[in-house]
Amino acid sequence: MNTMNNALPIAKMAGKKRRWIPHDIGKNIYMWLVLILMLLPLYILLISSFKTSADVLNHFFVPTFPLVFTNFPKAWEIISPYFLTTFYYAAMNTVITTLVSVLAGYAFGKLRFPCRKLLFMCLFAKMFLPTVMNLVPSFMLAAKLGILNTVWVIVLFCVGQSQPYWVFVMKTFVEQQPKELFESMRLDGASELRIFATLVAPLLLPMISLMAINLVLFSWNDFVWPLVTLTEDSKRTITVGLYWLSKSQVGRDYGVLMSGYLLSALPLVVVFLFGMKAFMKGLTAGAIKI
Amino acid sequence: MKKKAEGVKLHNSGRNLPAALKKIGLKIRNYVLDTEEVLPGQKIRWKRVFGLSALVAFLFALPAIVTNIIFDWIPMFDGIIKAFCYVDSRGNSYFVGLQNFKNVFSDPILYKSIGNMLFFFVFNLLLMFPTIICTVVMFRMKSAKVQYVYRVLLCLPMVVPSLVFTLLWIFVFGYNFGVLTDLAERLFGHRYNFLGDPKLIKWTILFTGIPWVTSNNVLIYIGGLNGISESVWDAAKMDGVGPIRKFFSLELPLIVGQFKLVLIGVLGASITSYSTQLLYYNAAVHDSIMTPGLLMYYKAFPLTTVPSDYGYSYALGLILFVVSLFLSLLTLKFVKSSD
Repeated sequence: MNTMNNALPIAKMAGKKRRWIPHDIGKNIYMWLVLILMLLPLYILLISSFKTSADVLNHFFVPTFPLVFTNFPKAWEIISPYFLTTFYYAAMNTVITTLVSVLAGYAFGKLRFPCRKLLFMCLFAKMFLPTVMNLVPSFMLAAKLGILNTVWVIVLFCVGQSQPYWVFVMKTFVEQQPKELFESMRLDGASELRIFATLVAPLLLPMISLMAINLVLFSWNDFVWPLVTLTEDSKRTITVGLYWLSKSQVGRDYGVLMSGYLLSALPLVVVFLFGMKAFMKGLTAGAIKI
Repeated sequence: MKKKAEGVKLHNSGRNLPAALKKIGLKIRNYVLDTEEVLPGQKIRWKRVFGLSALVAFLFALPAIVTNIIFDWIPMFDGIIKAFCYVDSRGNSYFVGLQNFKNVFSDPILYKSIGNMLFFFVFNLLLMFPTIICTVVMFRMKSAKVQYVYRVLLCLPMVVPSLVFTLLWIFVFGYNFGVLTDLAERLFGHRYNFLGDPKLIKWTILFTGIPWVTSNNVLIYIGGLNGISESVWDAAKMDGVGPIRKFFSLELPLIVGQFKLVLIGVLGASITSYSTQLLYYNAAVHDSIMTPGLLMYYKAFPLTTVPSDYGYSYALGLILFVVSLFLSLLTLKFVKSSD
């Protein structure tokens, strides 16, 4: 009996192994084809940023030697203002939006105050309304407030427009926590701010990291809104900066242009390397939004 | 006898009317004051309703509410109202009734742009399938480790801003000289102007999506497939279901929820997003790249020294808003009814 039990899985494994080879070879070939096509632009970026302008044009698909390292300092000199500005915007966006959403999520989820449900509905309804119409009115509003070409035109509109969904997520998460957790601290005489800082924020940490990654991705990729609101060259974000660079004289030095493109990926590469799992979750975190 | 009973009923409901009204009033009061735990007849603890902790809670929620109202709700209402106004470059507006809408609908480019939008709409729907096929192939791999490696590799391109890929494609095709254009000339003996030919531009944009696999959506679908219990696959194996039948009778129905989610996104984006078209835009292909969204953008933020036509832009924005709202309600209904 015992030997039978032992033998069975081995026999199963052997059977699986025999079938595994013909089956998955086709699948692997297919996956590699898809991946090659998907990663080809990345490969081109990588090899082109180490080439002279002439080599980029004449030997496009293969790496050329010796590698040209001088492209990177040249590119950095041009894009570093955009890079640092976007870094600053992304940090502000992420910190402020996260703080606002978590505070509100906690208040709507576990606290009581007059008009709580009414005010929540006001946020919640926004999740279902299309935002396509907002571009021009938002621009007009920003112009009236005199915040064009400042960090606030990015941050305030990001806070205002992206948080309904996140407040909803945080509220749902807070509601799922047992009431006693909060009550016991309150009975101990802890203030709401203290409860928030020592209990709620740590509890929500996984959600907060998802939200932060999602916001960093958004800030780094956003294009149309910064394009119309940040018209001064020194205030531009990385995407807008690269867009104008590709149209300008610098765009003629292809090696430098390519290394500039590659450098723009740097922060997200760092996020990807240090938090691969969170990064991949962050990619789909906004998907539940309707 | 029957009449009498009805009379009694009527009488009863008449007597209960004030009570029913009171009940509704109580509900409203509890809803507004957030005092749901207070039973009828019990006294409200006003100290709790308007006390310090309620104030603190309100202050916690305040930044979210205020920013949402100012930077999301107000622009929306502004968009609705100003669609019926003439708006000058300083932001002053004068009521003109339906004039903006007349301008929009009498503009021949609008109809061309709707045609272009429908082109992208149809192909974006069709091009949802390569992603599903890729996910299913990946999911069917036996080794979880190999699967994970593929998943990570598929997400790798996401580290580069998508705009950079578009700029790279524009460079590869090139306006005057481009590597792919040269290659195509050597292969077909004819020099195609991929970016500047009105007949080709839409196909060029579609082509740059190759292999039409969206990393985000792969992750969404794979999440759905992973959520299904192992026994389903075992049962299918026992029954000897072939790979193609398995796809149509098992995998596709099982991820139908995720499919609808992605579908709503694709539908919305096809109608309202225009950043890709904006990047590929050049005057030579004006008529065949313009979509209603891009038209709205260019009327407010023109390329050349043509003055902005904000009224036009506001009206077209409102039309797009209504259309996409209608469509998302329709999809929501369709999602609900078939669930």
